Amino acid sequence: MHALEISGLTRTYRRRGGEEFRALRGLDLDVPRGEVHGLLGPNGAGKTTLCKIVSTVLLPTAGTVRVLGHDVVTDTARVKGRLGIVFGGEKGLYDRLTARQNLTFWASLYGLGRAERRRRVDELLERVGLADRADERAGDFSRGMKQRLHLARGLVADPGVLILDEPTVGMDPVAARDFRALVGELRGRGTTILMTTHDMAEAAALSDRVSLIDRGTLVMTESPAAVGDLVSAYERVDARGVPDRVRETLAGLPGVVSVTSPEEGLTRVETSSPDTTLSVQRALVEARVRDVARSRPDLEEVYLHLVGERGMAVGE
Amino acid sequence: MSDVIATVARTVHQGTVVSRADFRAFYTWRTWLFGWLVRLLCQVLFYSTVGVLVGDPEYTRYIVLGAAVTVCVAEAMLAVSSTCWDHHGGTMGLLTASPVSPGWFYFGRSLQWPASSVATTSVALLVLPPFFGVQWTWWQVPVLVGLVALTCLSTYCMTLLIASVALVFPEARNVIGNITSSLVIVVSGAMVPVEYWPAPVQWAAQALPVVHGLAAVRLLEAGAPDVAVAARAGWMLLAAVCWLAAALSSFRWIFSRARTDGSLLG
Repeated sequence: MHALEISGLTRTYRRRGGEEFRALRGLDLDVPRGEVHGLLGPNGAGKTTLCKIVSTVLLPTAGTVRVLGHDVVTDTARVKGRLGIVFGGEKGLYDRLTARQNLTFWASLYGLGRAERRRRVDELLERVGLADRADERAGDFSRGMKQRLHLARGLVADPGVLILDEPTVGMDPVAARDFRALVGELRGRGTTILMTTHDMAEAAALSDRVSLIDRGTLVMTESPAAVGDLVSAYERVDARGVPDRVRETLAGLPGVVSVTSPEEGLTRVETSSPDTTLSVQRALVEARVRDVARSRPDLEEVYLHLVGERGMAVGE
Repeated sequence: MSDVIATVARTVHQGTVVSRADFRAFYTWRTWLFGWLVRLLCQVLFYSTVGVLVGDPEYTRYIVLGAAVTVCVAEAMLAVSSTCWDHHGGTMGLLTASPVSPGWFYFGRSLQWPASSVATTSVALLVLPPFFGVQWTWWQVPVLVGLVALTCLSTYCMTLLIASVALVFPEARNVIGNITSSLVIVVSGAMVPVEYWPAPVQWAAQALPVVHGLAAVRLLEAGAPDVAVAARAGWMLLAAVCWLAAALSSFRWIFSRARTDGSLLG
């Protein structure tokens, strides 16, 4: 049994004026227990809607979602007790309560007993680096501190599945590094994590697998390395000091996808196969171009290839 | 069963933690005493003066008790606003996703207002009426405070239902609170007897806890038999239970509906 089993998930919103908007279109996704799963996609791709359905905040229009074997529609109470949620942004805390009171509040609502509650709250405050500020009002915290408190809140009931929606938004680099260490710890304890992010490096570093979502559909699900392999057809060769006539020759080679100049003096040749890459390198060497480098696309480039020119633009 | 009671108690308690924090952010003891309480006493004084100007001592007694008891309506109605504050705080989505029973949480969430109104209404009833011909005997005082507490809590139960509706229209929360408060005071028998209104209004007014609370206070002041006062208190309690049951159902329905349309997610 997977920790998350998502099948044919569709979610339609009705906008003002009665027009319908489909945020998710028949999405299928399985996440094994203990996996850290990254969700990537442009704004409006459906990532947050997916998180809200998994976390029982929204109902699906069609399809099913099971969390640790429990259906989010028909077995909601069991799902709620096993999930932790961290939505991005500063909202979601009681600003007039202290950090400790905020955590105690949620620990109590999740049914932790008094002694366990106290121990858990102290442990989490320590873990997210807020122990020294535990008795200060959350409303007085910086954005990064609030985000750390959000994380602690999401973990307060020791959930089997943790949903993180843009968890490092607003964090300073040190806090973001601590967050990554925390995710590593949780993975070690077998917690399943579904994490949306815009940070490609973060997704590549933390995730066992990543899913790319665009316009409410799943584009692909692979390990970060496998995603890179998949588009290795889009290998590239960077060279400096390439004469114009050689650029024209390269552009005419079969299998060359594009020849561009991303910066002054740099020529970037994208190819559709390893054979073509070799042909490009050979042509450059024959033209006595010395500064030649071959590279593989990183996750960000893969992402941009797959979602196209829209990149981070808001979806329809 | 004991698990259910423990869960409800825990939920209400955590609501009161938020409630106390909000109250402390609103008032210091000085601003509550010299700002809020004095403002309410002035309000009661104003209406009582109208009674004096009419020149009828009986009507003066009638109106001073009415104005003092209905202080609790305006204060309890603040729960409509404080319930909607969570919309802006972004905690609604998290509450929806948590195992909490929203109705019991919101019962605790705004308890600062009925708690405060027990004090303000009691002070208004004990301090001002003696200047307008109303005398309390020493044994009436604890009964009076008990009736006030019951009236405040019952009115709060009614307010919770209004508050749950306001969650759907959070921008209109103050309008909803003020209009409801005014309507309740108008038909409650505070200024004119309930019997003044058309029969359907009289009938509907019986559902308002403050109508029975005010009637009980007037019976107490008039030296009516204990059983008559207790009967009115009983009706008030029954009304409160009905309003609370309706409010709990309404919160449950609104949170459930929000999962369909995302209306509580801000």
